[in-house]
Amino acid sequence: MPKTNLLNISGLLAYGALIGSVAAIAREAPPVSVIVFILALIVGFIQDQRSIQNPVSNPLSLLFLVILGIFLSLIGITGENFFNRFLSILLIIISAKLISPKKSRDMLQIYLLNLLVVAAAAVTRWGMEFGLLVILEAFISVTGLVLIYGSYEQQEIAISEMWHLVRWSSLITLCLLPATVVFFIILPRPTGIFFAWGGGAVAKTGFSDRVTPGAVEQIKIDPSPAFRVRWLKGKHPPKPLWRGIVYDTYEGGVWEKRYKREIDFPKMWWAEMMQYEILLEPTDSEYLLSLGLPGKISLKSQKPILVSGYTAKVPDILERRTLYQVYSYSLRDLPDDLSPLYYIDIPGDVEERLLPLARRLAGQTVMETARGVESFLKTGFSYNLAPGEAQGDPVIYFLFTSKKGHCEYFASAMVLLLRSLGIPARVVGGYSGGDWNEMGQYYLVHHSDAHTWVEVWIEGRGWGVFDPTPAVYVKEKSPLRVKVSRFIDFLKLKWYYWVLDYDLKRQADLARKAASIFQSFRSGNNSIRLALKAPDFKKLIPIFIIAGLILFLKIAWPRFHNRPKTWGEKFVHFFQRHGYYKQPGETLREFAQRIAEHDPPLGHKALLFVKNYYLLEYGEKGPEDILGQLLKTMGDELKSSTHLT
Amino acid sequence: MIPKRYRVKITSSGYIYIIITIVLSVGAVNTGNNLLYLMTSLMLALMFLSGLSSLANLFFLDFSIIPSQEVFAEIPARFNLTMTRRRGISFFLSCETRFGSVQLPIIKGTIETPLWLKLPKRGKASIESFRIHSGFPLGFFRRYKAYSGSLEVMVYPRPIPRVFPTLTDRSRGGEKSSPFHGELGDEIKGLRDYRQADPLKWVDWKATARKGDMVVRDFYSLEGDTLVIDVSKRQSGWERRLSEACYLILEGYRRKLSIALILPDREIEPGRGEKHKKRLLEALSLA
Repeated sequence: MPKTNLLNISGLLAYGALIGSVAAIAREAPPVSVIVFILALIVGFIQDQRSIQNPVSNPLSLLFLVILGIFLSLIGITGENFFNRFLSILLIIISAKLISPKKSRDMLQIYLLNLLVVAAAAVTRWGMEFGLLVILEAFISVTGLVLIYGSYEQQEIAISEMWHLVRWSSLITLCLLPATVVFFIILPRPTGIFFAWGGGAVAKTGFSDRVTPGAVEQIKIDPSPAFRVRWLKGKHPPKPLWRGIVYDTYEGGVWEKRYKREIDFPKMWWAEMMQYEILLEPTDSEYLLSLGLPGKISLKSQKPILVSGYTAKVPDILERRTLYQVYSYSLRDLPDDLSPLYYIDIPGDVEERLLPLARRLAGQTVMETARGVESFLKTGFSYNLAPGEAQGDPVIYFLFTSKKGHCEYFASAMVLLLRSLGIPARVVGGYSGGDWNEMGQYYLVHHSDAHTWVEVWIEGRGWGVFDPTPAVYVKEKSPLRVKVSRFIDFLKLKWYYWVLDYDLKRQADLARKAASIFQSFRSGNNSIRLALKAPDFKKLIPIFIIAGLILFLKIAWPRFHNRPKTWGEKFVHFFQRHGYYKQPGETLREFAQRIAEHDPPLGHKALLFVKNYYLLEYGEKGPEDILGQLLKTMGDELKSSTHLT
Repeated sequence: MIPKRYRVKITSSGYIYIIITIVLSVGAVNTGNNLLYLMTSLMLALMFLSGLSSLANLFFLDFSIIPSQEVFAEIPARFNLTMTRRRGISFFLSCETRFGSVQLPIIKGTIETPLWLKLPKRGKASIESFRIHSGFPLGFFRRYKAYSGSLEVMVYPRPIPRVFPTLTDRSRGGEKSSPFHGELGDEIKGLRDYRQADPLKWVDWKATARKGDMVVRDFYSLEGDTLVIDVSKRQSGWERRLSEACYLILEGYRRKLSIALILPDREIEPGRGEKHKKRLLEALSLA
């Protein structure tokens, strides 16, 4: 029977596990230690395959090299590079283990060190790829550890037996994932943390208090996610405008937010309410995004406030991924929180230049004028993300020279044209639209969705929204690609929501939910029970059928098929259930005699059974019922006593 | 046997694993990093599943132990261990009694294996506790399943070789004359003329030279001789005398002698055969 060396196979798996985990931390580890690790990996692999030893693989040389490596890693260690040096030390120890001769114990140590590397990756890799890494490492490590244990007990086993081990370890890994989820959910979370790492993702430059029309170019070409909005309550708008900052003052070609008076969150009981949860990527800004008129914002780490222009912000810059919940009023036009006259200033030279054009576009009413300017810009100018450097004032250059630009040029031009006519108007910076994910019931908004638009004060109505930017042709993606990318993003959202941002509050919510379900079952509350069962039942029918079939084929059918048919088989089966096994080649009489040696009364009955069975089977036909009676008597006897066979 | 209880023992690698888990959990609490919580959860889950699978590894097991030969004190005796896994597979089990153990790699269905047990004292021995244990699947923990029951074994005294005694006149009664029947002993009965087919090694060359004809040594035939072993007096070195008596019984049986045994409280008539030998050895065990 072909045999295989378990230690060799677990060694190969260890190499795979190490490659995966070290790749995850390679960017953070010092390059020298990564190179040392790669060399050690190659040397270790070659010496394992060829069963040779390298000159430095004796324990003393290795100890010397490890101490030297650790010493060099510790030189110049500070609080900032502590993690980097820790990785260096870890890689040096692993390298030493790789080039040393490997017994079961050494291999086990390599796996445990690998576990530390994966844990280190938890500090630097926060994306969903860490989840995939953990699944992969769990599968490889569990299989490797099972084989190591096997090699400890028996170095070489038949290949067929090794597959039994691999199947068993795969089963453990399969069960490991749900068990991990259970532990993850129930492990107690502290209310505060003592020492926090950064958010993992690099903060993108968001909207700030001052912005020039060309500044959003970098954001507009970035396709990465800016934030996700999980819809909780109310009707979600088809093309939402996510308000960020409201700019009030234009000076020297720069828009600025000068008025930041804190205002109360409005209460409008008559207005329709929307409730949603925003998972904001790090922005390097203190402004929060919201839809319509924010009535309440709940944020875990900081207390949000509302400032002029109904702009929501927090005291500190949002360097980490932030989750907050917003209750917004769905209003077409926003009310004033500050006199509209604060939004009327325009530099004199700009006003002088714009006034003739503005007068030409003016209508009878503010609304007509606003629509006229909007239409003028939409039709006579082209959208361009790289309009080139402006000569002089960017808005004047856009209106009279280049006639091309992106949303910020269009919005700035409209606001300044209206202000030159004395109409209060303001530029709003935020995001437009987003990709609605039906599966997860959320919007995915990319940085490239960044947008600026205009709010115009219309007496008697409030701040009306206008968007002078012409529509941009966007090449449509193939439906399959869209579906796949939506599905991946859905997984990412779940990862952020249920893994990265899982906290005490969510833990308590889950516990409350579980308790209420349990209570409803105890109290027989049918409505909850039905609500729990009814929607899932139909979906579960195919699963039940498949599970039933598998159970039948795996358990019921073999039992039915292999059931004892003759009295002889019944006799053997009966004693087998009670721990007596018939030896191969043993006759029934010999078997009964062997039983009699250990338990004479039982054996006597067994012999009687065999005698009657032989009579029935080979001699004259005898009564069958005596055999059944004997089996029953023996069963009763065995139940009332314990036997050692 | 009926399982009595399960126990778990942590191995040294298990302690290392637990320490790493604690370090990670402290890191998770300290930093509030949910991915470290995830790692901690993974390690706890692995610990939990390792415990469950080690338990499952010991389920559905039946076994029987049968002595396959005579059992002598202080000498490893072979027992036949029949182990059956009624459902599924068991990996890397160790079966252990106070008197010895055996390793079993993979059990699927029924396997038979020798179990060598070394029982320390003569007499009726009872193997009461029997443990099956395994560190499967990861070797971090060792799970024990103890069985209660009682296997009664008759342990004969340890045989200690001694010089086989010279046969007395009494013991020669009933001998058969022909040396060619049955097995021959070592003691010379006398000399006789050479017969065809006598082996040359029997030729007594000195006597042949004196007589001028071929003379061979004639041996006592052991078949039919009686060996009386007398250990009737309890005195110093009693155990040793019993051990020597045990040797003599075995040797006498091998030489097909009729063997009688005199003990302080009983006397066993001469007899031959396997059953008689067993009777004698049991009497020695219980003396």
